[in-house]
This record gives sequence, C-alpha cells and structure tokens, in this order.
Amino acid sequence: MTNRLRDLRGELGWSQADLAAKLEISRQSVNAIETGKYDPSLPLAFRIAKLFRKKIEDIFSE
Amino acid sequence: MNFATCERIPAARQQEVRNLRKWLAVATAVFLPLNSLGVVRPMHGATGIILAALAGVGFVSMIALGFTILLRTSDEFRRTMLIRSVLWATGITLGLVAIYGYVDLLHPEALPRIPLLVIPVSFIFVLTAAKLLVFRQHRIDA
Repeated sequence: MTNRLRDLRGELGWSQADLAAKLEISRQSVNAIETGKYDPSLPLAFRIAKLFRKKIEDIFSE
Repeated sequence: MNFATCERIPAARQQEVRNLRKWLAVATAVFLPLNSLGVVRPMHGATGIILAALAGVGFVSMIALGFTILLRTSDEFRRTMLIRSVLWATGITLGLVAIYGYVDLLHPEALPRIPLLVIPVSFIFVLTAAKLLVFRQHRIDA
C-alpha cells in the first residue's frame, strides 16, 4: 500500500513530530507509515483523512 | 487511575504505561534472583516455600503487567512491534525447548539435565533481545 502522507505533511509545512502530536501517535509511527513499513488501522486512517480533510482513498492507495 | 479517563487522554495513558513498566521492572527484579536461587541452590521447608511463592508471584505479576502494558499502549505501531517481539521470543524459546526435549528423549545422555525453571528466565532474556532487535529495526526507543 502506498500513501501521500509525506507530500500532504510537506504541503502544510509540518514535521513528523508535528503530525504525530496532532494524531496523538509516536513520531516513529508517522515515519513507519510514510515509508510504507506499516499500514495504519482503519480508525487511524480515518483520523489521518479527517486531519487533512480528504477521503481515505485520496491518501492511501494500493 | 481511572481507565475511562485514560481512554480520552493519551498523555495520561502514556504515563500509566510508564508506571506499569516501572512495576514490571520491580516484578522482574523480584523474580529473577529468586528463580536463579531456586535453580542454583534448591531450598526445602518453609524458607523454600516462601521463596518459591515470592518467585511465583513475581512471575505471574510480570505476565499480568506485560499483558496490561500491551493493552494500554495507545500507539498502535508500538503495540504491533511489542506483539511482534513477544511472538518472536515465544517462538524461539518454545523452539529451543522442543529441540532440547527431543534430543533429550532420543539421547538421554547427550545433554545435561536442566531445571524447568530455566525456561521462564530464558524467555525473559530472549524477549529482551527480540524487543531490542525489533525496535532497533524501526528506530524506536525500547
């Protein structure tokens, strides 16, 4: 699964730590998701989508 | 600490997990020396029973605290890594015990007799190593 998390975060000028704080997860989690080492659960994917005001499929794709 | 409150406040939940980890360290500090003492120098009578009970309480506490830490870890990625470490440690320990058991069954004289109490201690060490490896792989502070 691929995702646009790094791009979206970059557009807003957020660091991984900033995004982690907003999602209430660890910075390592953000890094693992961005690098494709870890696929987030559906609730976390919804939180990410809500934070960026996008649909899940606009951020995550196969 | 109120679990319901912690559900809504991740910072409080993180603090709770930190406290649980401290208690896990205490339980390990109680269990390991007593268990090792039981292996190296078995005791009998009332002293032996008390020491065995303390070691038993220590070990059961370790399992309960470890399980609670897993449940209370709010970061799902960290929780996944913890579960992966436990699975690796369980697999390695059980594998080694099974191999040792089969060799002992087929060639009873080939291996020295080892007390069963060595198994939980081995599991703790293998779990520590597995955790370090898994967490280092993803650059997480263990």
